[in-house]
Amino acid sequence: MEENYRVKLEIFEGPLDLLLFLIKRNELDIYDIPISFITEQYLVYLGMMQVLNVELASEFLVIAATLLEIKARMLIPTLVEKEDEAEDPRLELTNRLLEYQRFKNAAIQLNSRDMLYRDTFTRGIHEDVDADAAPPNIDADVYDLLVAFKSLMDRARGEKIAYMAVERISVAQRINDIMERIGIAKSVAFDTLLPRDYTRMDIVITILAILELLRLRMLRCDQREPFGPIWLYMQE
Amino acid sequence: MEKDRLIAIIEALIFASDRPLKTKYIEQVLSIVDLGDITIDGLMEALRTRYGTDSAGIELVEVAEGWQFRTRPQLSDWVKRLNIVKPAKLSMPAVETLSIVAYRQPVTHAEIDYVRGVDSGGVIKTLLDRRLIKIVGKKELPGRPLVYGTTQEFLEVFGLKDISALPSLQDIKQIGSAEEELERDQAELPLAANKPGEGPDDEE
Repeated sequence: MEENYRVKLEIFEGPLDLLLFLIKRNELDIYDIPISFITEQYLVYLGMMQVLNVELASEFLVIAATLLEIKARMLIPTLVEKEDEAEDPRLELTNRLLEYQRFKNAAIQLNSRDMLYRDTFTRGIHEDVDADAAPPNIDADVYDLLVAFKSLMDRARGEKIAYMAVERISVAQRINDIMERIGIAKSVAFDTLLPRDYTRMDIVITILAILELLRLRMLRCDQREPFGPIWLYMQE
Repeated sequence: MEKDRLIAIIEALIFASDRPLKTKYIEQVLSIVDLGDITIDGLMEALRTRYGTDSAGIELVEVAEGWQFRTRPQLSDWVKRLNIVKPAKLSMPAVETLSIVAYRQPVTHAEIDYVRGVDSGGVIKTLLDRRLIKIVGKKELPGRPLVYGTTQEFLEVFGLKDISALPSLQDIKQIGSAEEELERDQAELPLAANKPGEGPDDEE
């Protein structure tokens, strides 16, 4: 069975979607799910998907385990005298399903709006105007960034030590600043990202912000020549 | 100054702007004019009405707290034939994730995954790339996870004046159940192909 074809069942975005489908198809009450029945149905579907060689996301199995656990808990007689106080083991699942359904409906609603560039268009759309303004690509890596960091630190070394109130910028704020600048200019030289009178704190925050953006693959960074300026680009 | 001339000025301003033009900029430009008892809101409404007919190819919309001319949605197929626009579509998982971010912001990756029941990493990346969402900070939780929120771009793409213009989740719940009922009704009447009132004449 090593053949390389897989079926993707588009209809199910995930295990919650499958559960909702089963509930709807069998006309069950979401507030009173017959857990034994639904578990059986769910497992039948998982089995079918396996037979069809559908790649099963591990999340499907997590929900299967949850269903079995709820089923088991419902079989154990409760020792609590007042039955009202015993929490229904299905409650969490029901709430999750309701929540998921709510957002699913919200998504349908959102998708039905007139979407820009799908249903409606603005004036003068043109492709990347500044694309050719960017210097040729030579890949630089995190180490080049660190070298640049060190040279900035060396330059900042001359600063006199004085203690004063520092305006603290968060990394998140810095990330937004950088994305904003790059959003406008398309490419930005690394050392122009710092304010004129930068402190070590500024450098550290900027480096952290850039590393985070590189990790998230929202930025790309290049260097034209050894020890040359490092350029940051919006990841296409 | 005459009202018609003021409307023409505003029309020109919006046309010349390549992003939704904020009302405050219109006010700034017109600040040298004595408006008397004419209000900017009134002028905007007059201009909007002027374009609000089927005979116009463009319409005036209020998005992202600004004003913009856009092609009429009913003409989108024609505009696409021009082949200069890349039609932008979003997959259902992407819209689903986007709606979670929109309603729950600021929200973490893990919170999104919990609601959807599946890993949303790839979808989040797509939405970040298309600048429909952005990182808005970090949450005071172990690991300091990033939190996401929607962007100005999001408002523009979905034609929303501001984030509060989204229908409340409560309303949607009702719409959702109404749709389900409709589905059920249609399922019972499979031969009712033409719903009453769905003629070509009742756009808006």
